[in-house]
Amino acid sequence: MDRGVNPGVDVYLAKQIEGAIAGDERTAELGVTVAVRAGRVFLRGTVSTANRKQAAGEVAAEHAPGHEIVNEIQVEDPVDRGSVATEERIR
Amino acid sequence: MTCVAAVGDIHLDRDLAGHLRPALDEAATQANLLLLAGDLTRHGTIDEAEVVADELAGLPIPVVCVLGNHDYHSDQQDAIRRLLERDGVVVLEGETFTTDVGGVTVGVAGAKGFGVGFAGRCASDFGEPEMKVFTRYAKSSAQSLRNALEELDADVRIAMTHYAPVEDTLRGEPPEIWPFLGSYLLAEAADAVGVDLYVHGHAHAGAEQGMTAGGISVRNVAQPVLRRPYALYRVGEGSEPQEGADPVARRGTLTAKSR
Repeated sequence: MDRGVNPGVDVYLAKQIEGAIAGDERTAELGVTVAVRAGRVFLRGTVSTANRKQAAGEVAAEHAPGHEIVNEIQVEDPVDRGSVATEERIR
Repeated sequence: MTCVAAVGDIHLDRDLAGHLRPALDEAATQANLLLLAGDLTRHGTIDEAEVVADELAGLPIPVVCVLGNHDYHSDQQDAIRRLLERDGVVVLEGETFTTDVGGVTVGVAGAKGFGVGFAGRCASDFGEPEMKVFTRYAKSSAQSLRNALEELDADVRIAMTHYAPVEDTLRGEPPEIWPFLGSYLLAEAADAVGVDLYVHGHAHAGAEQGMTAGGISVRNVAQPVLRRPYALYRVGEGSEPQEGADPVARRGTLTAKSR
């Protein structure tokens, strides 16, 4: 039986990388999603610092040898948005 | 009226040391109480907890927190608690904290909580031992919150967990993972006893505002949800905001663990 290319393999690899980014001490990011398409690994989500984005890319590369890493993670720091001007009255 | 500043999921480590403090100093001028809804660290290490403790040390208002799942990751949660308490941070796990704000007693009952899902779509206390352990831990955690709430003697009553009590504040998260983000048992506990405000974190992609079946306002204060350093909520009766940063306001009372 010719098993051919199993498109499911990319799905499993993506989940393995997601798990690594969640579990690796350098990252511990639960909000990064991973997609693998045509030999490229896409990282998406939001982290707080550029260092955390870079670390996620490094972890992904270690778990996906031979793949190009496309790191589309956004860096967004809520603390940099300045002071809290509004408050809410709870009723 | 009481003003509380609240934020969760600050996930500090050396990379962010000193980053949040200016915002917290500002919060202390606006609020009577600072609530931290868990996930103070990234991996639950002592080194990260020291960053958190330094960030919170010496704030002139009471700082009350629960721990989150990340704070448990390195099995150092007890040491983290002691470290934070050394610097005056109140850590609640089935306990209550009360403080006086201009003659009004403000109280917080807190626990980490746990996931199990929501009514009609949740794990059951049935089958394999592993499933029963999972479900019973969720029940135990909710009971811990309820016990604390029943002990809470305060004019303004606040419940705080890391995990979510309602689905409302999970909107934006994939529904398939909601059972791992919260538990209806937590809302049931709050509705049974009654509170003025329920704050939680954990769901980074969720929504800020929600409500329990009993009509309690729920706020998801995970920092990625807030998209600002912290939220400010005014709770309770009265029209005149109380002054924050009262030099005596850091005093309060922590009850013994209820169970």
